[in-house]
Amino acid sequence: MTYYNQSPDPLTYLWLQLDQNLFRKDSDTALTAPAPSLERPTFETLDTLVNRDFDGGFQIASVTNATGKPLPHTIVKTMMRIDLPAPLAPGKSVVFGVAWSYNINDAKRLGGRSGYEFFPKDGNYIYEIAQWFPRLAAYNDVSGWQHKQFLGSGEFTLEFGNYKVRITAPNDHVVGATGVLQNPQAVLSPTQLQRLEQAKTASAPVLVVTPAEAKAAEAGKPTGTKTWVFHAENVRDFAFASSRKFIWDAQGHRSGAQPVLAMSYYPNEGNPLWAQYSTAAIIHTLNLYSRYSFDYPYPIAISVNGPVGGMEYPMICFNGPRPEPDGTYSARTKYALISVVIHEVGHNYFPMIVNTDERQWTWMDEGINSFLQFLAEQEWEDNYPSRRGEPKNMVEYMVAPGHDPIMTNSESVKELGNNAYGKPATALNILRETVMGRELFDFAFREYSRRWKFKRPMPADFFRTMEDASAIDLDWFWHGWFYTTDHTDLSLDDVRHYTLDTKNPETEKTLQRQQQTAAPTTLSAERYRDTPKLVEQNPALADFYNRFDPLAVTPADREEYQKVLGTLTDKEKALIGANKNFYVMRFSNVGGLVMPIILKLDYVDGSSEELRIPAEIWRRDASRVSKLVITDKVLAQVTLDPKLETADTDLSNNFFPRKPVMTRFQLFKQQQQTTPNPMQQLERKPGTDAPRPQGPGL
Amino acid sequence: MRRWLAVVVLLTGLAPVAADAHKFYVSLTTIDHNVGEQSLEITMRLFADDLERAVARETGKPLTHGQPGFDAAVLAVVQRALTVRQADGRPVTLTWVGLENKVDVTWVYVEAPKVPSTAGLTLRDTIFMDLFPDQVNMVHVKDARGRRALDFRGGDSFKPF
Repeated sequence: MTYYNQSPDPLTYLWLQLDQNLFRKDSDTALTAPAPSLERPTFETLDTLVNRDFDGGFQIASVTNATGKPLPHTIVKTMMRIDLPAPLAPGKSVVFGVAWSYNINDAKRLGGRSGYEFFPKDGNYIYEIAQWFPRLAAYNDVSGWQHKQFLGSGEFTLEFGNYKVRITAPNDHVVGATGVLQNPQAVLSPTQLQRLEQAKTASAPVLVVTPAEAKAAEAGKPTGTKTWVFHAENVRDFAFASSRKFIWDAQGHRSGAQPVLAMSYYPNEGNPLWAQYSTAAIIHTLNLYSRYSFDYPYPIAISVNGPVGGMEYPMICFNGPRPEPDGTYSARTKYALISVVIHEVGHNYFPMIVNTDERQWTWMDEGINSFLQFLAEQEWEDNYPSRRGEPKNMVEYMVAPGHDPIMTNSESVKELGNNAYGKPATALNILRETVMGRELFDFAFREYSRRWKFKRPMPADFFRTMEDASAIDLDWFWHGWFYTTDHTDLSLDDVRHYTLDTKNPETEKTLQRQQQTAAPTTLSAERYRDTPKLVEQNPALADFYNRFDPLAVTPADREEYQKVLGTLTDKEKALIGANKNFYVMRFSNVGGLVMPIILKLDYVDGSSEELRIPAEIWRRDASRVSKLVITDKVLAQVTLDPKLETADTDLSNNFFPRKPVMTRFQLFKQQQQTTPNPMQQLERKPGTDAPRPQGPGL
Repeated sequence: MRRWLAVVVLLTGLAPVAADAHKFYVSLTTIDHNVGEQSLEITMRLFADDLERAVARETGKPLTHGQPGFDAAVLAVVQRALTVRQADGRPVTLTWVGLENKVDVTWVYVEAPKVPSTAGLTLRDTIFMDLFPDQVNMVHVKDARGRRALDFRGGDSFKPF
């Protein structure tokens, strides 16, 4: 390795990451694992608990300088310090070598972000190899060396570099890797070379290795080895996959000026899904992510099927979903595959190019990437079943007391999926759709991506750039969504209706009479209504007051009104005559999270309109605000957040007048008690459980 | 003994027990006390693949949503995992309301009738803990006293409602 000191500081030592030491029996990860539940453990669980026989971790044979002389080094758990003979000055470089080895983990049994999968049916393996060599730790302006120990959740951050890698494999293996294959003539057959060439301009994936050829390789034996040579430039890591089981397809693509080869490697077990969706999803991802950030700068983009459920490396990622052994698959598996390919290929942009630090801030790549994944899914097909992105899907998590703020270190988060993927993805979607608007958000987000491409942003760099490029003050938003565990629960407490006192006795006294008539009759008054009254039977007892109607318009009233009119200007008369309705709406912030107030105003004439009030309304008092709405028409109903865009956790206080809001449970139960709709009846297959109002009788 | 072995063979054929890079073992259960009905209304949001695994373990054969016997097996899984106890220690009975499948998530609805008050109730949710050592079960309870969140991990005992 040649290490260039691009920092302004002289370095007396270097730190390298030894990620495989996670699998050592004495690793912090192993020693600090929480006790699992021991009620009815599966044999599989028992096996992994009892038979801790895997001898994992790096064996470091030597660390030497350019002339082969040993360099002093110290291993600290998952990190290794190499002491330099002399401080490495800024702008200078040092050459050193490490000789190492490690046992590859069974990824199906022990988990991990890389490893092997064994196929008992044909006796073959798929290898997905990553975090496989001592990698340089990052040295940055903010915290110096980033050498927080690898505990398993906080993935990593790294330095950019150029790689030249030679991989020697059995000669019937197909190898895919970060980087461009340098010796295709030496490792591919003339037919394969020709297919690969054809793929570059094809409009659909071209099979470089066909399913039949992969099947034939599974049944055969290697007769020797082949060495595959790859070069990769300006990447923060290098990973590869190798198997004789691989089918290999490829399709050319162009991202701006950059020609890209999108390729998938998968066993026959991956079909039919993989042939149809993997490479198509790679290209869809490159198109969409490039539109929202920058052109894809690498010549290769690979998706591999093997034991790892989903993990990203530069130019290559590992994706798990596969059909059933009988070749059928559920909708869940299909969408899981498309989603995970989008997600992992998308990680090329965040954090492989915009080099955020997942060891410290998981949300900066997982959250931002999950947000773009949602946009890509929504452009894949109508009503794509996205797991994350829609505000209403985040309500249950956010309303729960006791969860962690997004700005929490990767290893100390209780629910990493909701915390670092779901909530930030939802926050960014709300920022785009509700707070900033698509145009301003997209411009600012592209600027963030462009500004921090091949650099190392911290959270504040993201926050700052989004404001810098948009002129929208988002301090309140970052504070509420990223630093607190508040949730959205705005309440429309009441709406008061005012009209102007016109002083016109004809108008006002008519109105008063209407109000009197509309007022409820008391029970006693109602019961006495038909009782004979003394004054009616004895008219001598009646006087002026029995005949007086206080709401009748008198000549004195009219005279008084003309006098008032005489003092008014024409403009004042017009204002009074405009007949406006004044509505004073009072809101309270129950959940603590400040959000814009989105209102739907329904009028008695059947028309409606939307009123969007920015979050700045809360700046004087974040707990209570009021708003005056002046209309020509009379309101019938006001609804807060009518399109469920703010993740409001309690809809029962979103209506004025109030409307009953049923819980999910109550909605479901009510629906169960009515006859199934035509779609439910059509979708029910013969011989399956019919929806029943009662239980299964247990 | 023979039956147990059959279960082992089946389970090793299913999804891996170890955590994938982006797989999280979390369930969310909402329990609302309905004062009018004197019942607990329980909604569980479960990952559909985890539930199918638990059902396979329960019945000894793979079953998917919509197949005969699936609902009954889900109720058995839920009744074993979610326990609500009265103040005197007696468990309340959970009855079936139904389930909804939404691609990767299954919503399960069960009900506990004849619960006039939540005073003294305790509960525990161990769903999927036998399958996944990392399983975390969140339970949100809501009654006249307000809203509270409980979380259950392996080895956790009963917690007050």
